[in-house]
Amino acid sequence: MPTDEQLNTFAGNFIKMLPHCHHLNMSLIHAAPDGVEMEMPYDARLVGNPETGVIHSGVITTLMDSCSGVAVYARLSKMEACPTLDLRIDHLTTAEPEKPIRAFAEVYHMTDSMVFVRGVAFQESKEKPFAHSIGTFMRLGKEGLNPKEGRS
Amino acid sequence: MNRQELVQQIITARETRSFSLLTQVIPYAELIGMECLSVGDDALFSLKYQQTNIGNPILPAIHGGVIGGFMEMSAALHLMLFMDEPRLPKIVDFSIDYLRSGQPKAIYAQCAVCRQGSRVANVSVTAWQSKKEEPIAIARGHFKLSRANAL
Repeated sequence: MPTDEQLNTFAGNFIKMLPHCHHLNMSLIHAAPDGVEMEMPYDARLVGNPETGVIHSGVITTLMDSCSGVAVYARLSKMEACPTLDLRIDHLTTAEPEKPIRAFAEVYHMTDSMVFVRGVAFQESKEKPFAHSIGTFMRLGKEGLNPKEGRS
Repeated sequence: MNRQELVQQIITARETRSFSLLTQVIPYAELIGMECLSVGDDALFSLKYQQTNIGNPILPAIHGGVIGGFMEMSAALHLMLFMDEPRLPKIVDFSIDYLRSGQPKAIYAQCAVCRQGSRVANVSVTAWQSKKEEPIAIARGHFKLSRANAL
């Protein structure tokens, strides 16, 4: 079992290694086996509605997918390939422009082959989310880390 | 860009079938490298390969969130282009099933409106790389529709 510090260092570096997460300037706030919080700054490049300056919903999907993936890792405490099987996002309302966005994701059930993750996206507080996510990840085990054994 | 200009851009894209007029005014579409072509009576959405869209550098594979974002944008643009009149869709929910990993090459998507009511539309999206018969992801979403007179 890694220590809290090891887990946070590793998860923080892991996010920076993923080119698209790095491109969107995502960063780790805190990682723990019972949940992971990440942040992404507001960026004019992410705007989906040029009239309002609101970022595109797809960016929320990317943040929630990433945060859920890191939550899976934090729960497993070891490297294991876990591709996303499905992901659903409910957009309760829209995010406010010019403000950073945070995501929180937690594993709520895990079996030998599947991991079930839920999460929220918010700005002011976790208790007032503007989006909810729910996703299922497949555990491929250590063998899954071999590129030849990928999802394709 | 104000509402009037945005709606005018939609109308021009519909009339001239220059669908990329829409992706050009949306920063996120430009960021991920998205384009839209008029094919027959339909629209074909494409996402060119760029290294910054990679999510898993080991495989390598395109980030699942980018695939999802591309499909969401495709669904919304499809509605703007093909609804009976130009209206602005607002996403309510979106559900994606990932079937294959996104290889480091272009992705294509096509949409079908399963139902368009006066308030809400249900759209399905299929995304593929090599063959449409071998999709890398399928998705469906609900969009709230602004009333035409609100434009």
